[in-house]
Amino acid sequence: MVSSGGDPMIFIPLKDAQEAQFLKDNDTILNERARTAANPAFNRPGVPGLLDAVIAGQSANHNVNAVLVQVAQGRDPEQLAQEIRRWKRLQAYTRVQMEEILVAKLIATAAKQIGLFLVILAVVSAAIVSFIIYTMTLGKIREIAVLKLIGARDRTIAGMILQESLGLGLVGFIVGKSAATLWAPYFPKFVLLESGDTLRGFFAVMLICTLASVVAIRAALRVDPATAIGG
Amino acid sequence: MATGLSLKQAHPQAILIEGLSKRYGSGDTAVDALKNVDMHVAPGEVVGLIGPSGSGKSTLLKCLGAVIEPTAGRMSIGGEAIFDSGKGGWKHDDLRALRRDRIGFIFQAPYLIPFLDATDNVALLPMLAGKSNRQARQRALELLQALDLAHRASARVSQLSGGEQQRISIARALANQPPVILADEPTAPLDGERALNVMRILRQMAQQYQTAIIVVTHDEKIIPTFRRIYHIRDGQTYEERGQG
Repeated sequence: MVSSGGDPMIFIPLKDAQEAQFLKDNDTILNERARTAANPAFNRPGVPGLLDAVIAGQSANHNVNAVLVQVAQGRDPEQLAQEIRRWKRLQAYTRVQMEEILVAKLIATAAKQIGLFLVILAVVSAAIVSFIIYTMTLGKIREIAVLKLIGARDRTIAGMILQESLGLGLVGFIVGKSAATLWAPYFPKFVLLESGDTLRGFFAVMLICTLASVVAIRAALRVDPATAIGG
Repeated sequence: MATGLSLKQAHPQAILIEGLSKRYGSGDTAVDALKNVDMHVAPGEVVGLIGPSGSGKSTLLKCLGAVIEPTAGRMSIGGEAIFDSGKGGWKHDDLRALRRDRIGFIFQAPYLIPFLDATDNVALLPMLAGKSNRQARQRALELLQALDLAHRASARVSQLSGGEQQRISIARALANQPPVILADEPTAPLDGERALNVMRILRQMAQQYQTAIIVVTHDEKIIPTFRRIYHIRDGQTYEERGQG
């Protein structure tokens, strides 16, 4: 699985998790033992067994992160949680509340961040495509005037510009999708994209390109066919 | 003039212009670009229109090309009145369709559509006029054959030479079999031999398809090829017999 931050994530038992988090390595244990043994308060010649008791106390771990409780059949999880919460130092969450915390807070926050980036990228892409298509259209003003002069309808000219814009978007989408697929493994984090996301992305690109071509189409439709004649 | 007109009425002209005037602006700043212009061109005839810059050539072409509205006068194309200032102006509601179906245009540069091949560039006009794809391509191939370009039918514009591109633009102008072609300095970018070749093709096409062609030009090389020339100066025309 992937966490909301894009990191790899696995589920393991609590005991293993605590061991991974709190188990000290051999060097640390040896150093601590040596320091404790060097302390005359713990290593009294007249009190045998004190040093061993102190070292055993240091090595033991009493930390508890969370306890997963499975409620017996017939018991109401919410009622049980309410009872546990009466001890002020404990907090209890039901499965529904845990899912809410995970989905509505962690994943939703990350999704909003990615969504914001997507909106910014979409606006920037639309501006770039719009600028490119507009510049290309201005470079063909004379050709457009000729097309109008020889009888091309406005929708024919608009269709040509739209095709150009959609073609540009299609090329961009293919290059982008290919690059994302091929290069994703080389990045430490990745965003999971399913086939449906790709399809939605494709339609979003086409929509952006359609909107981006509007300015160029407006400019083309304002061209006077008379400019095709004369110098 | 009366005798001339009756003669023209007896033999229908492809282009007939009578008393055409065009005024830009109004009041003190008004400019008379055309003043009482008369002109007639028979089917199959190629005439030259010659004049210095600012003489009114482009304005005359724009009026005849149904792009700008004359201030006064009458114009007919292929025997059909298209403009009469005394009877409400334009006779057609859709000037775009009039240009598409009744007038061919040739320009100084070919202005072909770069992503289409030679056949599709020519077939574009019949398709715009509502012909089926098969009919339009058939007409295009027929014209390409007539212009010795059948072997370049599927070539892209970038693969064609300048002369070939200009011939494609001539084929495009003829695609809808218009009674009139307006050529705006079609030989300007060409050297002597190629310019004369284009004029030979225009003359041949005019004869073959009975199309009247008006060639606006400054090109000294091709002026001797015209049998009739209209000189235009300060918005007024006068006719001269050419050497062609």
